[in-house]
Amino acid sequence: MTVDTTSTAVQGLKYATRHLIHCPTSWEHYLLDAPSSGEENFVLAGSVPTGHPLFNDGPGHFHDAQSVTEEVREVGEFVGHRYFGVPRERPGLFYRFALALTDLRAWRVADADPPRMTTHLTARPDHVISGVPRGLTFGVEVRIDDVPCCTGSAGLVFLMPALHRNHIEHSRRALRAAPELDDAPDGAGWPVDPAEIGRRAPGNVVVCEPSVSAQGRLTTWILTRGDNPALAPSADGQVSGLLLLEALRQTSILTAGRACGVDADRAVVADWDVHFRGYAQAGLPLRCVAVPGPLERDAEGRPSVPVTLTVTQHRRAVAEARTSVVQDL
Amino acid sequence: MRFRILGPMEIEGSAGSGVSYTPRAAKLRVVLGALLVRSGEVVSVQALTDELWQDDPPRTAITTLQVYISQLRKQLNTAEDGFGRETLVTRQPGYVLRLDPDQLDLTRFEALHASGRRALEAGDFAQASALQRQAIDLWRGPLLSDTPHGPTLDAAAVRLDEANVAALEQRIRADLELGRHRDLIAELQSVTTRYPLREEFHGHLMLALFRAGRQAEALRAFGQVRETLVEELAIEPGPALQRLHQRILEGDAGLLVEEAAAPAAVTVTESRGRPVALPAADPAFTGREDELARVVRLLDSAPAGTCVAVAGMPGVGKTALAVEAAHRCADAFPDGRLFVDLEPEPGRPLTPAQALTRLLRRAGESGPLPEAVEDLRDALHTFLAGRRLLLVLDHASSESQLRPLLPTAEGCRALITIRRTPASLAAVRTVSLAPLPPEAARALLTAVSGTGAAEGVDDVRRCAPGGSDGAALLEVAGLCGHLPLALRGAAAQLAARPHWTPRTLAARLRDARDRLDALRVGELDVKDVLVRGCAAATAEQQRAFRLLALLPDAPFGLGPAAAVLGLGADAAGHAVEGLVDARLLEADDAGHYRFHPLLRLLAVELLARHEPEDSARDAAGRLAEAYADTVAGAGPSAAADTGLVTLVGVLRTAHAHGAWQAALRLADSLSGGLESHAAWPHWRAAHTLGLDAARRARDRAGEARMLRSLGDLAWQQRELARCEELYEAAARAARGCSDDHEHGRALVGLVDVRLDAGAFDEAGALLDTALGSLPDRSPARFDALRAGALLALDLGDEATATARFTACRDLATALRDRRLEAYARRCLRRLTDTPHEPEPAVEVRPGVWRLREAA
Repeated sequence: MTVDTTSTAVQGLKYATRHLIHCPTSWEHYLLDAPSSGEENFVLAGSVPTGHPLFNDGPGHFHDAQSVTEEVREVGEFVGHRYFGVPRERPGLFYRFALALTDLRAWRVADADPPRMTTHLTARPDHVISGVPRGLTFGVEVRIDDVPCCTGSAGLVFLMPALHRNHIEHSRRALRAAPELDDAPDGAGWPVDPAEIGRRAPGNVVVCEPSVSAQGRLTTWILTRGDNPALAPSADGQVSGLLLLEALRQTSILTAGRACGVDADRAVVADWDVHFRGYAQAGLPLRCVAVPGPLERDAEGRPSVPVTLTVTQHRRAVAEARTSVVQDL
Repeated sequence: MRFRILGPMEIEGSAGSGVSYTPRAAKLRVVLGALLVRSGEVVSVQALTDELWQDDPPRTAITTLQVYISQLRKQLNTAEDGFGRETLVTRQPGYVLRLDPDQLDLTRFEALHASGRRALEAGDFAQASALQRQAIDLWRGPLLSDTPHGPTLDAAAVRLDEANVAALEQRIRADLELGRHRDLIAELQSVTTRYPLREEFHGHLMLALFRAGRQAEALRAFGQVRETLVEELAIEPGPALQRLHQRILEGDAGLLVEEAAAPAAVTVTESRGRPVALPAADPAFTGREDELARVVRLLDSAPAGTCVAVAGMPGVGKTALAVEAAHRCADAFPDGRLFVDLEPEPGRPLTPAQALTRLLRRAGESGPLPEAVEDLRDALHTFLAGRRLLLVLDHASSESQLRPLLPTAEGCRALITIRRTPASLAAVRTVSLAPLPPEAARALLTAVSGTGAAEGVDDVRRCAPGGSDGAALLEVAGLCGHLPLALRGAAAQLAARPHWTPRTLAARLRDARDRLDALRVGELDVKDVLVRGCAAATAEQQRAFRLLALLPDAPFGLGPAAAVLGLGADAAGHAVEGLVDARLLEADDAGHYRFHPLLRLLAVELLARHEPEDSARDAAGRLAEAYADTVAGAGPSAAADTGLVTLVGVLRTAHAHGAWQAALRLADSLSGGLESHAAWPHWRAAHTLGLDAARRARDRAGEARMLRSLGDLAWQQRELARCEELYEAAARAARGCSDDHEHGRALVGLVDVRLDAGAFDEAGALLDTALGSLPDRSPARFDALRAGALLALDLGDEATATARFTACRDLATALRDRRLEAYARRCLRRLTDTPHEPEPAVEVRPGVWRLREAA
């Protein structure tokens, strides 16, 4: 079974107040105030984050596109509960994300006020049983100051509480029951230089100095950073989704830099395609393996490096991703 | 004796062709040549000395000339005894050579050429072709190519070269008339290379290519000669070539002739009694298989006396279909097929008498004809009696024009092309043509333009539907409204400008304002054809046509049409149906009407040019009012049903024509739908126009409403600074006109802004002011109570929040506003839910949630 590792509950991070606007497709449905059985549209209006401890840490060349994934994570569960009749005790877990930054110019940081960010979300119910969807699929379109600049999709599954607990427990038991699959670093890893992964604060570095094979494959260990509130594990001891995504981002940029000389200060992960495959327990070693592809050029002629990544814990797949790191001109 | 000078000099004597008596000495050939080119004329001694020595004669010139003459006589006597003495005689002031016409090839050439020209003028093309061919065959090279030329021979060479080229041109022209175009193409390509500045040869090449179905190459040939003329002489091709180019662009079926079955067996005219006067089928004809099959079936099987009409809007391809059908029906009409254009000049239809006369002449009647229509009709019916013959009556303008022409004989049929359905004619079966389907339109574009056909496989792939140019061609087809005439105009541009790609053309056609002009190529003017179609309607219909351009660019019902025309439903229905009959509007089965896209562009242009400003303003105002009534009557859902794009379009039209009050009223009616759908771009556009309309109408209350609505938009978008400015401006405007209700609403907006900022005291003070001025039963009061409940929630006072949401619910129930009532119930439910779980978001307005930064 494909499972997410993260809760989508509001994380309480430093976002400005935003508006989530429901745009009813059916007027009658809106008046009846009944759960929807079809597609629903929403608009999330606000500005790009300005004081976020993670997203606003870095060279300041680009706005951090992870704010989009966080927004979708933030409202996805809420939308399921509020508009699709999913019982509130069922947590929403994301198992898939895909994002493509379609216009990098809009993502560049300007000197003016923080730009407005508008995210259009289309939610479609999946696997409806007795009128209640087991999941939602989201379409995502982002505009920054009215410039369309990102499209994407996300898959969210709602698990019954008992099932969710069973999955977590089963995962823990499985990790304990197969010591032969233990996979741990030889010693304490050294965090990489923040400048190499597009950050400035050492506390935001979540990947260790990697080893590189002859074929260019890069292996690193993920730091689970219990000391960083933005990246802290969930209450049930799971590694947060944000930490995993940040680890994928940092590893992608580190790989592109080491393999192709991409400048981390001007680099951005322009394409994301991430699948969460299993749970990741906080406190246990997490390995991330990255394989860079050949250096390419994007449509605007910028250097672009595709990277394939796998995150494992005790040799069990936690996440798989394909990214594309682009260096701005 | 035979003398040949059309090439090197040759003299054949009594010994036969094997022995040459041509003088070896050049000077002798000069003298003999000069005498031969002026055979039968006296050539003066002076002319001969000039010819021999030009400006530098020897002192003994005359004596020497006499010696040459003497030698020539001897030479000629050698060839045939006594010939020199008898034919080369001295006549003052010089000498004359007297030959029989058959003895000199030059004389024979001139005689054959003159006879050929006369045959051509008489229409005896086969004879003309044969004679000119014989004349041309006499030439073996340039005139006296082995002889030095002085002034006389030079002048003769120029004259005879011109005659030779004229003979060639006339022979080709005759061959073209005989349908030998396919055989001529190669020769013409060579001839045009040899004579690059002779436009008539280029014209013949274009015609031959066109008749051979190679329209694109024909157009390209024009482009090449034009380029040559411009580059070499800085002139444009002459009028004749320009006209031919235009006719090819238009796919003029009149240029076509029946192709010769075999070059050697061409007959110019059919035997009398079996006339066929039919343009050849259009080689680019495509996409009308169903309609064609129907016409052919009707012609084959319809009862005696039945006629078939092909009807449709201007430019839809009626003539091409009729001509194609006439060709396919050859077997059904073995006694002939006659084609007559009933309106050969635009706007000047033939009278029945003229049309009958033409028909009879085409039928082969060469004798005197009666003048009276009745007599002419009797003559036609007499001719048709007992025959199986098809009359193709093109461009019919009216039933009265057609009636005397329709055959009644058992085996005869008429195939008519006409814009309107000829409803008053009995026994007419009508086949109506619509614009082509998209794929057929693309195919026509490709066929006429030659795009991708000439270059290679890659080009063909590129122009296929899935290819890069294929998509652009489909777009061009769509921009032409799939109208065949417009498609031909577009294709002609591609053919005439090889450096243009379909994408270039699509980009040029995208701007609707210039599209009709952009489709004009030379005299192929789509707009002109459409204007003529419009001009054929009554003045009343033309005005209705113009005014309906104010409607949104979408199918419309009678309601909006009635509004824009200022008529009742019945009268509007009559007017609109009249336009459908005139092929200026289209109707669908669902009872909706619509313009053809190009006709709509024309209507817009005519509206701007011919409709008085106040009339257009009133019509636009009536339309906006009608839509406002619809939205107001059905609630915000009407905005969603009708389509915000349509409604904002109507508002824009009303604003553009200065119908301020109507524009403002429509903008007001849209408020609910715009807000609930977060339709931000439409919202901003509609209410910015509404605000401008209110200001121009000096409607302060309206200004306040629009400002407040734009404030609501900014609030949704979280542009809080702008939002605050707009609410404050709205409050000032409302105060200025003592509109307490709107003033209160603006204040409530400001309360929301303060709540967002956590300024609860300020929010409370503003709220008190608002509640003090708002009417008890109003949506504005609901808004104030809502804001009050949210303030209480922010302050942790759930009891007050519950009381205020309860008051909201009761007020919404009293106002019968189900949307607001549902919102109040949701808020109450959350407050009363147990256990009381913290919400990540608060629904601050119906459908709008505030996601707060965590404390």
